[in-house]
Formats: sequence, C-alpha cells, structure tokens
Amino acid sequence: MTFKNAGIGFTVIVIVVVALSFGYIGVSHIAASSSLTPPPHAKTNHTAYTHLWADANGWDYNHGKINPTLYYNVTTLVHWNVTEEDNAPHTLTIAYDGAYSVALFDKINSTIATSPLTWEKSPSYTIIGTNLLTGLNTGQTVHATYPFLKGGIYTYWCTVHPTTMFGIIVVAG
Amino acid sequence: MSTESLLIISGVVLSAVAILVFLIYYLVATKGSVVAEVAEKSGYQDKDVFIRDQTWGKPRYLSWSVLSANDAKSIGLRYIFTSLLFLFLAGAIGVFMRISLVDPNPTIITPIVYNVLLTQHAVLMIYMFALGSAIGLAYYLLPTELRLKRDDLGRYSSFAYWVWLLGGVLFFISQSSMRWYMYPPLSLQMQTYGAGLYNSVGIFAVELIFIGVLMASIIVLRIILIDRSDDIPLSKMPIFAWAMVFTAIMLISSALPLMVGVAMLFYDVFNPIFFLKDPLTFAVIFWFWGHPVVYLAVLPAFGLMYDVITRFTKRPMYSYSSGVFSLGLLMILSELVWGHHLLNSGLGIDWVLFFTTSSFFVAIPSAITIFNMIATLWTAKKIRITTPMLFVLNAILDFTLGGVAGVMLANQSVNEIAHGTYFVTGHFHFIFVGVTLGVFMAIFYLLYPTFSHGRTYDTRLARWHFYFTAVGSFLMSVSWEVGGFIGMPRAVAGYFPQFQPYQDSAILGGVIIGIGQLIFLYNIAKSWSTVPTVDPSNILEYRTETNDPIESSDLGPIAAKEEGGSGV
Repeated sequence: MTFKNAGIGFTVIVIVVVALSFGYIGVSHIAASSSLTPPPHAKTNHTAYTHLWADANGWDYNHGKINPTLYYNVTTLVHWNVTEEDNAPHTLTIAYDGAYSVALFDKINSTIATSPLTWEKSPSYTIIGTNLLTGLNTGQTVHATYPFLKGGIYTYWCTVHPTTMFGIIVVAG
Repeated sequence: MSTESLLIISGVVLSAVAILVFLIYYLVATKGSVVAEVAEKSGYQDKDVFIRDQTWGKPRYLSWSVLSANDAKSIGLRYIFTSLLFLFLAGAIGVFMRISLVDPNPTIITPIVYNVLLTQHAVLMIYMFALGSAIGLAYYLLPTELRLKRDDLGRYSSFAYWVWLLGGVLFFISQSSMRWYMYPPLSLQMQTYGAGLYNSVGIFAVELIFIGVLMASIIVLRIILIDRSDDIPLSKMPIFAWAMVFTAIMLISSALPLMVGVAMLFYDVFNPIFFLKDPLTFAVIFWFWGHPVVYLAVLPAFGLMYDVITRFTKRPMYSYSSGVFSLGLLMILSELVWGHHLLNSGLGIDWVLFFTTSSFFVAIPSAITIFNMIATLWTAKKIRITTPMLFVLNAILDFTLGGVAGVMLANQSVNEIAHGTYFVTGHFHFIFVGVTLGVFMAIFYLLYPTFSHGRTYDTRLARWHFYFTAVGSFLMSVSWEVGGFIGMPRAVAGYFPQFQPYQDSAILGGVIIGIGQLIFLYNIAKSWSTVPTVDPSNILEYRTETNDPIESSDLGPIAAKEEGGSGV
C-alpha cells in the first residue's frame, strides 16, 4: 500500500498530534490544580485553626453540626487538624466555585445537599490525602496548612465519600 | 469527577485504545503474512531479507510500509519523520512558552505548566529531534553512500526505534517538570510544585530513550566500520560517515555512566539512598553525558554541511584530512569539558582551571571546521545559492556567533555572572536552531524528491521558510544574549519589568520561527499533491569519493531545477 499523498497525511498527523498534546496538557491535573495549588512560602496576613472530624457519615458527625460552613478572611493561613473517626480512608479536598455573591452562596447552599457532585467538578486541590487519613490511624489527628489567597466561595469534601462529606467555605475579602 | 465515573471513562477509553491497537496489529500481521507468502514463492525463507533485496539500491520513498519493513532505509525514514513530528510538537511548545512571556507576569500559562512545557521542550528537542534526525539520516544516507555489503540488523534497529519512540511518548505523558538535566532532589519530588506527580514515569522514559539511542548508535557504528563496501577505504569515506563514527563513539562512551545514574535515580524514587544526600554526584554524572550530547547535535550537522557545500560549489573539500581530524578532536574534547557546566558548583579551583582551559581548546577544531568550509567556498568558481545552501551558509554564521558565546561562557569569571541567565539560552539556541535545525532542513529539502517519489518542493515557499527561520532565530538568540548578559534569569515563567524589551523582541523572533515552520509544513503538503515529474534519486546518496571533483550530472533534480537561480 503506497501513500498516495504522504505529505498531506504527514501534515494531518502533525496537526492532530500537536493538538492532542496541547489538549492533554490543558485538561490535565497540572493545569487544573495549579490555580489552587499554593505557592511555596505564600504570604499570609491571618492565621486560623480549624478542627474537623472525618467520618463517612459527614464531616463532624457526632461533633455538633454536620458538614459546617467555614468562614475565613482572605490571605488566611488555615491550620487544618483533621481527626480520623472511622476506619475508612478520607481526603480533605477543596474547589473554587466563584467570587462571593449572596446569589451564588444561596444557590450552592440550597443544592449542595441534594446534588453535591455538581459543586465538586471544578478544578480541585487535595490538602490532605488518603495516605494520611486511613483506617490505620483511627483516632489520630493529622495536621496540614492551606493559605486562602483568593476571596470567594469554595466547597470542601472527601473524594472517597463525596455524597456525604461536603461543605462550603466562604473566604471574605 | 467521582471515582465511579472516572473508572467508567478510563475503562471505555482503554478498551477503545486496545481495540485500535489490535486492529493495527491485525492489519500489519495480515500484510506481513501476504509478503511472507510472496517471499516464499520467490525462494526466500525470511520475509525481511526479501523486502531488503527488493528495495535494495532503489530510492526509498515514504509510505506506510516503512513501519513494517526493517531494512535500513525504512528505519531511516521512520526516524526522520518521527523526529520531524517531535520537532513540530516541541517547537509549538516553545512558541507557546514565548507568547506567555509577553508580560512580566505569566499570562496564558501558570508557572507550573510553564515548568512542564520547559522540560518537555528541552527533552523532546534534544532526544527526539536532534538525536533522532541524526540517527535517521545516518540510517537513510549511509547504506547507499557506503554501498553496504549486508544489512542484517534490521530487527534490532526496529526495536531500538520503537523503544526510543515509546520513551519519548512516555516522557510527554509523564508531564515531568524536572528540567532535562534531572537533578535530584528536584527530580525526586513527586509534587505539582516539584518535578510533577508522575515523574517516576519520566525518569523511566529517559532510560528507555537511552536504550534505544544506544542500540541505534552501536548499529550505525557497525554499518560504517564493518558493513561498508570493500572498495571504500576509510580515507575515502564521505565526511558524514566520519561524523557519524565520532558521534556514535561519543554517544556509546558517555551514555553508559548516565544510564547507570538514571537507574540509580529511579531507585531513589522509592528508596532514596544514592543521590539525596549527595546531589552533586548526579550532576557530575549527568554532565559527563550532557556535554557530549550537545555535540551529538552538531557533529552530524558538520558532516552534512560539508556534503552540501561540496555539491553546490562543485569543489572537493578544501582539506579532507583536517576536516576529519577536527571532527575527531571535537569528539575527544567533548568528553573533557563537561565540568564547565558546573563551574559554580564547588568543584574546586583546580578542576575549574582544567575545565576552563580544555573548553578553550574546543575553539581549535571548531575554527578548523569553519575555516575548512569557508575555504571550500572561497576556492569555488561558482556557488549555487539554493535553499539548502542558504541554510548551510546561515548555519556557518550561527555556529560562529553561538560558538563565540560558548567560549565566553567557559571562562570562569564570565560564567560567574552569566550562568543561569538567558545568555546561556541564546548561546545554545544559536547553535540548535541555526545548525541542527537549519542543516536538517537543508538535507530534508535535498532529499524531498526521494522522500516524495519524484516531486519537487515549491522553491519560493522554501525560500520564505529559510528567511523566516534565519531572521527569527537571529532575533530571538541575540535578544536573549543581550538581555542575559545584563542579568535576565532563564527558565522562569516571569521576569522583572526592566527586561521586557529583550523578552518581547525574543517573542517576536520565536513567533517568526514558528510561522516559518508552518510555511514548511504547508510546502510539504502542497508539493506532495503535485504530479511526480523528476528522477527521485538525490545528490547526497550516490557519491563516495569525497576528494574527487563532482560531475555536474551528479547534481540531482533540485539543483537542476534551481540551475537558473541566482549564482554567485
């Protein structure tokens, strides 16, 4: 079988390969997560401490209000202390949903309980992974920090239990 | 995306890929069995030998069959067109990075993506384009230039090709951002802000590339030294064959230490016992390979430049023996100067003096080479300025400019202020774009009638391709050298505002180069659509006695077509 027009064939291959490659880089985790990945030594003006209990039935299950809404000022370095409650693996993952507006907050607040997955599709960043929150260290508390450098509404959830463990973070400013 | 939907989507995609791979395998195997049947009827037991004998000595043009046939020329075509594909990919990445630097703050791409693109641009250009095209041209040109007695390593060559290609593809997929020199501890940090989440795949891919390239260069060495025709003594070999001898020896001798080093680095990913406490050791091992590899990109180009010059001046080389001698000296010196990449890493003053001095010696063979080329041009009665010739003349200019900058950098006192700046980038882009890319394009144009089975390229578009490449490359590299000398740091996604003029003019240059390559791509597609009109043989393949004057009938179709063109 000879190539009747190898030149055009080659040109098409070049265009397709280059387009696919850029698409690959574009949709991959590096492009998606880089907007939320904190830069090393990020400059922050406030510090906050938040304690969460990780349970497959919901964040803070048996510890007051389930799946609490969290409030911070912008440029706050949040020290997360997450206690492993059950024997299941968990993650603490966040996503940015947009600048703050009452309408957006109401929309998220009213729909997150019925369809949480809608708000977990935007580019996400995992602050604490399953390597730390596993059944092996039940009862222990894991510490991690995350600086909120951009104001707006975020959602947080556990990627293993996205339909039960979810909540809203409001970063003012 | 939830875990279930991710599993479903990846399952569907993987099944589709598996079906596609099986389909391709089925088509190739069916075709193979048909060929095997024909071969058996003709009295052959091995279909590869049959294919080789059928295609032997004939101009080999591009077709799908090069992917299944294992003769040296098919392997050469695979390498040449694959490296061209990677040139476009890595080039597009390069232009993309340039455009993002239009403003001091990162514009289109975030710093993380910039680091990934930077690494991919470097690795794909060096290993997939520069090395791949040199090996490809050796496989393609040498069998006829040296009238091989036998061609029986096709399966090994094919294996080398596929491993090399797999390595390149895996490296791109790994989205590594460890820079092409893979320094630990960065390369061991599997994070987005480190070397990328999947950098272990990247390290493994580099090892695969090494295996492929090493195998191919051993085979090239055997083709030249053992398999060439008995009536071609070493002293009559084409200079390109000599260049490939030195290239292959250099590659084989310097790649092995780093292959061991990369394997140790791969082990360090899982159990860091080797390099984490002693990263400088890896840097030393790397540059023992890293410096020779940049010469691998120019040595074959020098050989090809001599070939092009002698053909378009109808003169033998001014001095064949000094040409071979200087290429050999370049090979020896390339193994002795690697420390000049680490002048500021604390090697100690004795070593710094040694490497600075040996680096200055590199100027001697380089100057002999350039003198030899200019002397050949000088003694010619008539120089035909064709597009390949223009690329080669531009390569002489760019090599001189880039080389002088290189000698400056090898001076410890200059290196102390210029290291890590765009001055370095400008230095090697002069050479990579001007010499490696330029000479590859020159040879591609000369071989175009053979590749396309008797079609000619559009000379007007080819000229525009040359002008865009030459002007863009000059503008880009000069802007970098000037900006770099006043302290513009390289390899970062942003810069200080005072460097904006240099960055912006470099962006202009980069975009101009990019447009030039698009013209080239369009030229390939357009010219291939024409009806074959010329003899598909070319002037590079069918001549061995480098020292004899060339008959004008040797100058193939392109020269004849451009006969009416401008002569000097």
